[in-house]
Formats: sequence, structure tokens, C-alpha cells
Amino acid sequence: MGDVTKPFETALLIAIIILGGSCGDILLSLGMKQVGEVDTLNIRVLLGVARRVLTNLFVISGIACMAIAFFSLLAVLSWAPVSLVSPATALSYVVNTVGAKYYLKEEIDRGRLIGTLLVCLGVAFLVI
Amino acid sequence: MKLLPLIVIAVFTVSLGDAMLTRGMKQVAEIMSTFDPSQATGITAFLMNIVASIKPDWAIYGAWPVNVVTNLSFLLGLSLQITFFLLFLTLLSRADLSYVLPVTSFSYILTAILAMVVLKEEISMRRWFGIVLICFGVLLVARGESRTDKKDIVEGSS
Repeated sequence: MGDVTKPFETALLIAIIILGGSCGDILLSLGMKQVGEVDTLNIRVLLGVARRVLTNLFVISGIACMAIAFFSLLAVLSWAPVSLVSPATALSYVVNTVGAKYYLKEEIDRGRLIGTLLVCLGVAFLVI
Repeated sequence: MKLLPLIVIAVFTVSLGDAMLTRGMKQVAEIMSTFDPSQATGITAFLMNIVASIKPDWAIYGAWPVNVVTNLSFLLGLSLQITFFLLFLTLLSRADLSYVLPVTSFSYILTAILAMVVLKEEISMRRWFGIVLICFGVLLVARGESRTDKKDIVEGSS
């Protein structure tokens, strides 16, 4: 991270962004699957859906994780280049692939595994 | 609505949102670099006192929120991020996390282009290479099978 003024703080905050975002994604996915598909523009139905979304415990926890990730993002963007921070958050693929496999019980094929490893390699090129 | 147009709109929204948030935070950092704590009044002073009661050394961070939430670039970036978040929730309700997430991450490339053009960030060849590698990785991840059928990707979910 040659052009970054505070490399340790930058790495720490990026780690928080990744973990917070990944936990948030998984929790929100669980929550929204419980709520069901949103396929209407009827305002009364939408309000009902909104109430169910906002009272869902998974959704609430997911939003809390996302909020932590978002504040960390704001902090790190105040000194680090977004062309480093944004792609570096792609490391969340590693976390998400693991999460999808073990918590959402989705199948992970070889292509997806190689893709995940390529993302790791790409992030390595960002920071060296 | 079909899946693909929603995803394309989401990618543009989050990229521009990231760029605008960055511009806003850099502007606030610039303001804060010449900030005089003894001149703080009102909400700023109030927030600084709260932070100082937790850790005196950190009092200066209490002066950030007012500057951040009154910054136009930040507000635009935040609006775009909220728009993206709503689109993302909608996408998650009709497709798998493992499908939606890889495709929306094309935003990394668009964000880098915006960072270079709008924010004048210097991006080394090595960093571009890293970003392209991430793109290939993402393509492979996106190609992986998931419970969202290929048919849905083209025609939108039924």
C-alpha cells in the first residue's frame, strides 16, 4: 500500500468493512427469504412488507452489521484512495463463499472456487 | 422487473455513490486538518464533549459528524448508497446471495474508472492488474451454479 498514509489503520478498517458486510449480507439474505419475494407496487402491500422486513430479527442484525461496515468505509475513505478500498472489499467473496457453503448450504463448484482464489490474488496485487 | 436491468442500475448506483462518498470524506478531512477545537460551538461542541468523556484524546472525532452530514458530496453519495441498498434488498428477495453478489461487484471496475476520472486518483498498472484479476475472479464466481436458474438471469424471475 505504497500510496496510503496509514497502512495499519487502512488494513484494519478494510477488514472490519469485509466482515461487517459479509455478516450483514448473510443475515439480510436469511431475513429476506423469510419475508418472501417483493413483486408488487401496491403501496398498502408494500407497507405491510416493509413492516415485516423491519421487524425481522435477521434483517435488524444485518443492518447493524452493515452500519458498522459503512461507518468504517467512511472513515477509511477520508484518507485512502477509493481505487484501493473498493476492490479490496472484494475479499468479502472469500468470506461469502465460505458463508454460503456452510450456513446457506449452497453448492460451491470448482469454477467458483478458482474465481474466489483469483479475487484473493487480485487483492494481493492491489496492496503490494 | 427483470433481474439484469436492476443489476446494471445497481452497479452504476453503487459506483457513483462510492466516488461521491470519497469526495465528501476527502473534503471533510481537508476541513478537519485546519479545525481549531477551541472554536467548536453548538452540536459540534456537544458531540466533542461526549467523545471526550469516553477518551479525551479522541475529542476531535466528535467534530466530524456535523461536517460530514452537511457535505453535499457526502449527501449525494449517501442517497446513491441508500438507493443501491434498496435495489440490493429487492434483488436478494428473488435471487441467491451467491448470484447477486458477484454480478454487482463489477462496480469495482466502474468505481476505479470514476476514481481516476472524477477524483483524479493515480492508479498504477499493478493496481489495474489487480482490479482486472478481481474481475476475472468475479466472472468465474458468477458462472458457478446456484439455485437461481440461467433462465431467470435472462428473463427475470417468474
